[in-house]
Amino acid sequence: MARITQLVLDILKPHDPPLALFTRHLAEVRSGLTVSAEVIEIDEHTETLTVCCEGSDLDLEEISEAISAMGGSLHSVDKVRVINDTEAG
Amino acid sequence: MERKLNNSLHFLLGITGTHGIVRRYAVVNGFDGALTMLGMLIGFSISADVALPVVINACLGVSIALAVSGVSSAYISEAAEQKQALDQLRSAMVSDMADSAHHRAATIAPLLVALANGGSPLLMGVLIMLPLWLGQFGVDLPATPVQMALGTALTLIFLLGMFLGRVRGSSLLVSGLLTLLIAGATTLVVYLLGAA
Repeated sequence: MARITQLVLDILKPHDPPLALFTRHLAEVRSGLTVSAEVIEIDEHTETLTVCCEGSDLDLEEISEAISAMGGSLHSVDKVRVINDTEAG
Repeated sequence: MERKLNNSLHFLLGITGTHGIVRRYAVVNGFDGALTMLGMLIGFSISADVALPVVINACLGVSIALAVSGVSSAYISEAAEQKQALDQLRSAMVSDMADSAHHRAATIAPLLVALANGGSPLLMGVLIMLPLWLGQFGVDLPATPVQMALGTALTLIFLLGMFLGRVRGSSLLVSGLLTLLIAGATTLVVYLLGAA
């Protein structure tokens, strides 16, 4: 079965929650999830982030819901890594 | 887990910066309540032969009025502030943010601020009135009920000052004594005007 193991996302979010809290809550979506975030641009009320999520089986919808719950908005999925570990034959 | 965290009160209060507002409203209106009660009790203590039920009813009436005033005024003003902040954020995010913690926080924060603003003077009033009720029920007190209530009011005002000192990170004793000084000045003015 093909599994998503990495997602690089372009996200717009309000200043609150702050970056560390936002990233931590995102990582708490699923056990074993590793999340790193980088601020690309800061405006008066918002900031644009590049967020990299890594895990054994990522669910984009679940991550997107968590982003929305914290007031953020998923602008684009910039990079995806998928592994297919089904044995051929 | 994520949903639980986002719904947690601590998280919602943090998002709207309501922690500080709740504390400020609680202390300010709590101080108002305690000082108002102190003024009334001084007034009663320098008046001749005021029956205890009259003192209790007057103090209770004032405490309830302060609570209702505190709840309604804080809710109206804080709801407007939160709505304005949310509208600005919606505009910046180009989203209605309907499922966001910010939306939930904008509903919950005014309620909490209103409760703090109205509940603190009521709590102060009830605590200060405890000796009056005890006296009314015939409990033996080391001083008259009004004197005991005055002592309670001064103690609470001192404790509020200490709490403010803790928030500021300054000396608890000095901060407590400062608020006690304000209470002392109030007592003096009420006493002098009442005596005159």
